[in-house]
Amino acid sequence: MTTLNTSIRDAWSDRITSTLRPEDPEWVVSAKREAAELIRSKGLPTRRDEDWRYTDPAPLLEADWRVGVDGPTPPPTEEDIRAFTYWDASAVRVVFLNGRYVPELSVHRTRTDGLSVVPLSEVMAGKHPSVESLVAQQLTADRPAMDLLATGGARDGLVLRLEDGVEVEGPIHVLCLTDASGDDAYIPLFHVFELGGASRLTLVERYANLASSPRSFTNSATDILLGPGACLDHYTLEREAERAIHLGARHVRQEDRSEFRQTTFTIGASLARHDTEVLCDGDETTTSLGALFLGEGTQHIDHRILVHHRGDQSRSEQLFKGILDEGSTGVFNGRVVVDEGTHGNDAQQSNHNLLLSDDATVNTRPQLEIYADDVSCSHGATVGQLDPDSLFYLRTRGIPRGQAESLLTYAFASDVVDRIRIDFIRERVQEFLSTRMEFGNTSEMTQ
Amino acid sequence: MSSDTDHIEKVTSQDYEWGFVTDIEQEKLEPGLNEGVIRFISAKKGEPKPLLEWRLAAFEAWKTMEEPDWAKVGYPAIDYQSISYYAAPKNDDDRPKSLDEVDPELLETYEKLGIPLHERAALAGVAVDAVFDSVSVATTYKGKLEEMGIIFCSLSEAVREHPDLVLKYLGSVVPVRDNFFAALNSAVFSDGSFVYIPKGVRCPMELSTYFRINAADTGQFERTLIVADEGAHVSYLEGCTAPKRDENQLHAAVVELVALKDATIKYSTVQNWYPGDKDGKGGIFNFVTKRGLCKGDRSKISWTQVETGSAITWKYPSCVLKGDDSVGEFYSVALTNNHQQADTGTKMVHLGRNTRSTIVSKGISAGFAQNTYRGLVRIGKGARGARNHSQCDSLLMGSTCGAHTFPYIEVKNRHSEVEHEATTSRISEDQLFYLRQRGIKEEDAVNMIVNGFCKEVFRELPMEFAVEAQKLLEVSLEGAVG
Repeated sequence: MTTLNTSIRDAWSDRITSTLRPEDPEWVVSAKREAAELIRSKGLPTRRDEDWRYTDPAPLLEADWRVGVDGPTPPPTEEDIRAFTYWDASAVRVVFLNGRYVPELSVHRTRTDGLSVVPLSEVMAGKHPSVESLVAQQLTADRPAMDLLATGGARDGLVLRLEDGVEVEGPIHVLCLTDASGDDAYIPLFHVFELGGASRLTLVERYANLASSPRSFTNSATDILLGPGACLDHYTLEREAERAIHLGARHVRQEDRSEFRQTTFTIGASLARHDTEVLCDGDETTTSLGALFLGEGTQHIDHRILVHHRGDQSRSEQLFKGILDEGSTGVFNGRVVVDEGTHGNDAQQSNHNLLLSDDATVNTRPQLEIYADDVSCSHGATVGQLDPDSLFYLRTRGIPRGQAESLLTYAFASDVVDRIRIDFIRERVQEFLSTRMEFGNTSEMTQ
Repeated sequence: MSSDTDHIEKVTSQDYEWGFVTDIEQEKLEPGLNEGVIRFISAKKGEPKPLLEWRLAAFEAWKTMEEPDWAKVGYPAIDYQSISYYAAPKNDDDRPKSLDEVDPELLETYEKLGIPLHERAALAGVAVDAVFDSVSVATTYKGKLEEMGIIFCSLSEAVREHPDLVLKYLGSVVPVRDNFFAALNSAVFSDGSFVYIPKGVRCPMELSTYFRINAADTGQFERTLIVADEGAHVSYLEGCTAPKRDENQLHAAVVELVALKDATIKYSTVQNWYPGDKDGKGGIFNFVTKRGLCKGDRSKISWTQVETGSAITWKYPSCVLKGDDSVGEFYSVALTNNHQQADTGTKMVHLGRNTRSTIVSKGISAGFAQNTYRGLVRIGKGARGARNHSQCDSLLMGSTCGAHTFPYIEVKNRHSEVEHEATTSRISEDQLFYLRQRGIKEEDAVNMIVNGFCKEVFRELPMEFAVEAQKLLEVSLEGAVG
């Protein structure tokens, strides 16, 4: 067992060092070497780790993943990605294919002063000295081993910096696509967003497959730094193909009065896991996390959340909803920590799950860890099926059973859907939900 | 499995290779734990061979196990070889002769708790012949129970007189390999209580260790086994509100409950072991494994606990709901003050159809204490129609204490409903203001609010216990207010 783990650990360490290039500047070389070394010394998670209790990391770590896969030839055109972009009203669209920036498909529609959006690959090549120190600092930040595999291995991602007081009109759209030739592609990505004081931004991260794809493993890490009074409305839409594995980690640090809103939709991948760690470092911060996940087949969808209150008078809320059909499994592992000596923090956490099949499973762990008395914290979790009384009520009104069921399921999901402030996306998600609920799992999500 | 048995046989049949001589006359064993110690304990108690084998198997298992470290408690490493695993019950010569010889601080607490004078002597460990009332009371009760076929005696006595019954159920709910402390207990358990309620019998009184004559000094590795046969009903009280001093720092008890078809077992605990001083020095480490098996259909097991003592509490009274329509309940008040640490909660494992469970947990944390609720609700695939509701509230008093809630909910069945709610807050300023405005002193106001907070649990306690428990909270919270 131990030796097996050691060899896997070494393999991952080697995968990270294999992404080094001779022309890399010193700070990139040292960061990657450090990550590789940490993997060797720290080791990788196992099911014995509380954070991985309900999601076994062994199968995804043991597979023989390949780094640096080739994309399709010829490269995709605007037409090929139309399914994801035709709605696009974004100010900036940045496209990555198999973990590499695609300049031909990326668009800067509106130029905003004080906004810089550059690919990590260019930063690593020394083309953007102004953000180098930011990236170098985040690359060496302390993080769990699984995220180190993403940050250490990544050659690309989005580096975004917003100056103080700048508001960006329209969302920024980050489209991460997979279309690898052959099985077992490992696709690491590292995004860094830094928002200056009192700036505002809406950002959509989207993960999808371009064509029906072989087995792949997308591992993305996103670091978000919010300055005083900054406001970020962040969406993650994950719909990778059936055999894909998706790990997405977000590390957020909030300064005074900043606001972080995050809404995650998970529909795809055989194994999808979203890790969100929010450090409420300042006073009077607002954090609002919401997620909707839909499982079918043998899908396994896991959300791990940590909201850490270190300042005073901050508010955080979590609303996570799962609808699990067939043999799928949903996991919610949410934790709120309120530090000693803090005052007036308010943290609410809720997780509700709907089981639609006898083979579906839900494991939920809402946790509160409170070291201060001047707090107001609560959590709630429920697991169940559609309320028979509500169903009966609708049927007495002449609504057929099937329709009544989809109506109630839709209603269950609606408060997460209503969080979406981008009209077009909200409407599309609503449309997707109503079709999926009516016709089972045959519908396609078009956006 | 068979190789296991072979091994056990080999181990049990061979002579102790280091030439340990079993000296039955010895009153206290030297510190240390080995096979010889276990053979000694077993021989001392005149146990049948299967029980010795069972103990030795547990010891073998224990040696391969690691001490758990997942609980949110911190304590210095325990040296299991520095503990003496057997001491004969104190004889009357060692006990205080009268209340005058008892620690005045202890007597003061009795006074505050309102414990009747004649009971104080018994509680303080004054020699039994100096205590008048309780003995005669206990003897009268014992006769009445025997008439109804109820067995209520010490486990050692039960092993000698009803070996088949004991061996049938011992370890059937908490297997020897269950966890580190349960394995240790299985190997070296000192004594405890055994209760058997025959078919269809409703025990006419609350059974309490207090009324069992030989209950004194059951030792640090207590083991309790309660079996309620079909349709039987029993309410059992463990511990008492009076503070209990003990020289043994480590306590690892095991309690097993078995409820057959239509049986009901109600188990109430008030735990008030020595919690250590204000600076967190000393105090008991209380690592307890308690589990009930609702074996038959429509059976019910209800745990009620008031935990105010011990420096460290590690305790999860659980219910395995195997029979269809069986019911599990857990009502708990856990109070930690000064430097106490408690990691306590329950497990509700739903296996049968239409099984129901209720969890009500109230945690109060003051001073520098850490109070953790840790609970598991598992709904198995076959548990159609299962239902659980959990409510965990924590009250914080002071800015240096902590309250934590770690529920685990695992549902594998859509025809079931699980709800979990938890809140953490301090005493509401509004409530306090309202009471003070009515002329109630701050300390009294806080006590009223705390008692109100725990009401749901106290309601489940037998009457006389409930009254004492309220006072106990007040005494335990002394110094935490203001």
